[in-house]
Amino acid sequence: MGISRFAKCSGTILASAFVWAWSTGAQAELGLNMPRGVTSVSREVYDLHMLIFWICVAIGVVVFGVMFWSIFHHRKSLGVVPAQFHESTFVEIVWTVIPMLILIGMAVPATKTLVKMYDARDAELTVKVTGYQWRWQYDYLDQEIKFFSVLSTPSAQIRNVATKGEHYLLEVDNPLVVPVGKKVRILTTAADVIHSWWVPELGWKKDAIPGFINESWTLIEQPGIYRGQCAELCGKDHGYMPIVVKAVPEAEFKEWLAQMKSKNQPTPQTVTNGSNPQIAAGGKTL
Amino acid sequence: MSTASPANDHAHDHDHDHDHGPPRGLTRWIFTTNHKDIGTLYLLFSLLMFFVGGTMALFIRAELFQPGLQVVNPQLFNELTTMHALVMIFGAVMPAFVGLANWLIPMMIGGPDMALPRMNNWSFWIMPFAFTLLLSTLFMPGGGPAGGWTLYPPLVLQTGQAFPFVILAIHMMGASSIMERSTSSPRSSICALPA
Repeated sequence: MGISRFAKCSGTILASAFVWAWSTGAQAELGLNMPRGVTSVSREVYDLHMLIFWICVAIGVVVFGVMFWSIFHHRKSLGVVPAQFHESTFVEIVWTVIPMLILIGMAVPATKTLVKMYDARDAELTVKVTGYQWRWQYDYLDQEIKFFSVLSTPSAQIRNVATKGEHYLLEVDNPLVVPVGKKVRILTTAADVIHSWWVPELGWKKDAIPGFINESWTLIEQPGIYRGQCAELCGKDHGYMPIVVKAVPEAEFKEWLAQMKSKNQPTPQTVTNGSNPQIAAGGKTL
Repeated sequence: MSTASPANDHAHDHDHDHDHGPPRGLTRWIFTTNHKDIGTLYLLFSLLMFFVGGTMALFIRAELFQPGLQVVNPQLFNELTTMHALVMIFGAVMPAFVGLANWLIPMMIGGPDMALPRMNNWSFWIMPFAFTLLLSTLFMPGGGPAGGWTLYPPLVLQTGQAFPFVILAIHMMGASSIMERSTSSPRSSICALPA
């Protein structure tokens, strides 16, 4: 009697906890799950994650269910006598084939997504991302635009002297700007130690290793600002080299490109304004 | 045998049976080849290292309790993280298993001792020196290793003067662990069985 009441009670609690956890509201509020992201790849990654998660839940329920049921209903106090058989080819085949089918069932969709993630062909824009201690450099290879992206959170906030901003440690001076709806190829490498370029909303992270170039791509559908961090311990300021990706409409991106180009190529007037024209001109004109 | 009847023993084995049980004091533990004594040493060492590594974890968690810098600076934070992992893996988890193996394997297989009792003693007594060396790197110029317990280059090459000491300490742990495997592997243990 007591046991059945306990079982009912805990059943109700479990069921309500389950429903609550299921509701996306609770997930978003607690930030427990990975984000669905803003690209087709990130959504595929999310769906894969959920698929495999529920397969694991089902396996867990079946395995532990059978285990606890067996322990409960075949306990010694009920006078149950243990079975005495050895070796069962049938059982061995079953417990080999079922996990094999489950693994193949997971490997096929996972491989499809991986193949898609690695297919960086026909990209319309290539950005080389270089990790430094402790900043990122973005190099728009075909546009001759190259700049550093450095943490912009004031040191006073880190030292608890000033109140912390909304994007504390997730803000930079120059974000990576990319056009919406265009396939952007991203090459990652590093100049000193291993870093890792990770923006959760894009659905992947890529190690930035000195001497190697790793290739990946993204196609962001929604304009917006997406934030990430270095994901490989890279020294004392590992936590202070965030990533900010700003996805903007095509027109705005072109405008930004033009603006950056004019900033990058100083006009002759500004060059000769320097105190030493030879150095200021980089030895080009003289 | 000598304890069965002391009076009798004295009369008959006057010259050659001086078995008075284990030696007393410190030398019992330093020179011991008794697998249970060595197992106890391992388990106690493991517990001590568990507290040392655990204290580091407490510092890490205290720092992460709130955003911003509170308790330690970022460099020391990374040193504590790295040391915590090294101490817990090589100082707490592995010696705990080895301690249990020392206590149980000879009894489980019915052997008198581990395969190579003196090497067993050695494998333990390397550990305190290895960890004294490793932990002392926290106080060296440039601090201890801060690149994570996997010691990935090139980041680990930025360790200060402690770098060679870290490498030596980990080699000593490796030597200790190889010796221990030699004495406790089933193959060696079976060799220790009475014929």
